[in-house]
Amino acid sequence: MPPPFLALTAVDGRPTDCRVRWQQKLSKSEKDPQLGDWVTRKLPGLEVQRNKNLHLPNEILEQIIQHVTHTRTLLSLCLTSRTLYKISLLYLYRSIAVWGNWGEGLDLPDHLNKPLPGQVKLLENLSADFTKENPASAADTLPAAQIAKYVKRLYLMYTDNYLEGNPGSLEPEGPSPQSMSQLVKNCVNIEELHLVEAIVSLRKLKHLRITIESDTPASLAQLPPLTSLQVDIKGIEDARSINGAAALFRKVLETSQATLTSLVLHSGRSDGPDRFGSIFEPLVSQPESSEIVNSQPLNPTFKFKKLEKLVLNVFRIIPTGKYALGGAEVIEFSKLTYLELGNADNSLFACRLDVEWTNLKKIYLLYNDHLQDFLGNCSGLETLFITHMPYMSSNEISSLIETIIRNHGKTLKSLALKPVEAPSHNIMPPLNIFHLRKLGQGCRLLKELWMAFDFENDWYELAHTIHKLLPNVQMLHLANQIPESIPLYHWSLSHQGLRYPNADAKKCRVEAATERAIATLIKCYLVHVPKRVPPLREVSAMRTYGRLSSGVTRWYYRVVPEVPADDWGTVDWWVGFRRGLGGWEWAAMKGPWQLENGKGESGANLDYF
Amino acid sequence: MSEIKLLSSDQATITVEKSVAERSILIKNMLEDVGEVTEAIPIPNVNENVLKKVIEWCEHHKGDPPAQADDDSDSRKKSSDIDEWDQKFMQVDQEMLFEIILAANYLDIKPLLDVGCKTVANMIKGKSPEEIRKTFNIQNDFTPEEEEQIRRENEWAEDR
Repeated sequence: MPPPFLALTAVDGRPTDCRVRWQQKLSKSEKDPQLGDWVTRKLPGLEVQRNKNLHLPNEILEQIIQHVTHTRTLLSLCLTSRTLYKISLLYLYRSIAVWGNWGEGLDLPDHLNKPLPGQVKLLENLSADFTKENPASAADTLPAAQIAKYVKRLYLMYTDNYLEGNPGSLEPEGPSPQSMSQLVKNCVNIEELHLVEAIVSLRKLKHLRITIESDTPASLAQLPPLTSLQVDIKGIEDARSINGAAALFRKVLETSQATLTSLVLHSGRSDGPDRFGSIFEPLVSQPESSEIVNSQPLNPTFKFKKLEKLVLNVFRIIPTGKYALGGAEVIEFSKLTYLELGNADNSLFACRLDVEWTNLKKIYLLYNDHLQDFLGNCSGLETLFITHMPYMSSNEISSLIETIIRNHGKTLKSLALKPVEAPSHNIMPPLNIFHLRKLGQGCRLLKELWMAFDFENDWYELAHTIHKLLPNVQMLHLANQIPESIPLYHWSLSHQGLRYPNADAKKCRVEAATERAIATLIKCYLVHVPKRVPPLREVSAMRTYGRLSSGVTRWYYRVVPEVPADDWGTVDWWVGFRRGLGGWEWAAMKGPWQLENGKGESGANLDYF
Repeated sequence: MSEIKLLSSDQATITVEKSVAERSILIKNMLEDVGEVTEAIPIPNVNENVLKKVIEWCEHHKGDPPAQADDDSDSRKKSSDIDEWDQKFMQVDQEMLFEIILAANYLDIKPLLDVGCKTVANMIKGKSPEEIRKTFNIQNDFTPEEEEQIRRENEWAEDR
């Protein structure tokens, strides 16, 4: 009896996901896809006969639209109907992260370096409109005026040369510093501002992210009470500037002490934290030439009332000066939910604090001798990043993992155990397969894992092993440098979220789609001999190598049972695929490979495929 | 382990663990108000198929901690962050998906409503206005002039 007809049906609505499932049909027609055909995936539901009476009420439509962040989709929603226009317009404008990025030299993430003509054009239009003495026609000014009402997040990136008004470094049509300042002032609803330097005295500002590369803008002193503050300080070297910056930030912190829930202080300085000191302390070592005459200790009543997130790198929270009001006194650590201390002294200080860490959910700390005690004193962490882990024996790591499991196993979702350096031949890797098994059994919710691992000869088995030991992990970050000769893309079959340092992300994405297509085909062939192979869910296929011949690439797969089965020996372990004129073609070494449309060959010699 | 009965709109009685049913704030509040009940609680807005689906979700998530405010200041960025099980759960036809959303809204199951809304949000990503109209069964009530004006005012968003 022939096997039941199987049709590919795309069931996943996510545009980036190509997962497919098999659906049995009692009868087939010529219109149905034939076994092995390449089926273009479709969004579910669009072709489904709908209940004409089924309408989602506006409040639910709004909830759906809240989750749409794609600007163009929001524009489509605006154009759908009057009702959706009213709901979506606000989100369309809120979706704007207005980026102005001119010049070079800024170390921006990739997605910010891509050309964003719409955004840049928008910013140019906005700044041009606001500086016109005589506004142009209503039709021309409408977008800028309208957007100005709604813009809540504004990101401005430009270079020092630009700020200094050096026109030679700018695009000829670029907005002037004056127009930028005007723009910032006119967008009166800005709640979140990311900028290098600019006017920051905005009445409604709640979230400020500022990068200081030279002098600290004096307007910082006029900031309203903020909810979140992120400061990146780069290149402030002389003592006067340092004191100036510290004084200004203390003013900001005092203004916001009752409202601030998130405080992030970064510094690019690499020459140690000593010169900047703690901004919580009085300014005791200023030079005579300083214009800051009175260095007062912080007001004794100074205390952060709502601080939940604290990120400090070089800035110290440990009191050192005579009048110092250390972090321990101004911060209620027991209220913190997020603690990141990228400095050994601060990490050690935090781990030794006698605090009931009742609210802590995320921590990023450097490894120290008190860390394990600290992990035993708190519970319920969801994110745990431990960096600079020294050499540890397997038993010591096991002990650490057991502490983590005992106190955080039921809640932990992200774990990073990062060694001081990537494992080499001389350094024992921090995790081995037994540790992974322990983690898998003790941390059932674990979705994200950073680790280094010594795979030796097990490169091919990585995905297979991880998938079995940590079935819920969605993102695996490897600290290892993986040899170029290792075919990596098959890992995405079982771990779409795999990240490794030397991965070519774009190439990976392209090939992952091919991989998934082939994996589907493999499953398709296997189900033709259902009695002779393990169930599909217990089979995985891993690409081992590819070969280019006559302009056509062949991919060779090893088909592996995830659960050893007695009858597995009757099934071939190797199959090759290539894209022929008529679609995918395959060949298997020998065994029960069959295909209705005859595009495959069993018992083939793969060397000649 | 106590159980309660739910009566769907098509008069089907479904027995379910009380703790599972209490994922619905509506049912939880109702039970707190009336105390112990032996008769089936009517759920007039939800039919048997949808109710079973909703209960399936509640059973899977019965051990979840209560929803908490996300500490990420921009939670909208997390629209694609749907649990793998939930993704599979939501792999249903569109009518069922909408019914689940409506049921979650009626029964006041916020996490399920969120998952449903995220699923639909992902579904319409990159769609044209016409495709979205089909998805939501919505009539185009714009005049061509109005449509053109909106497009003109927002042309900056076209190339994004």
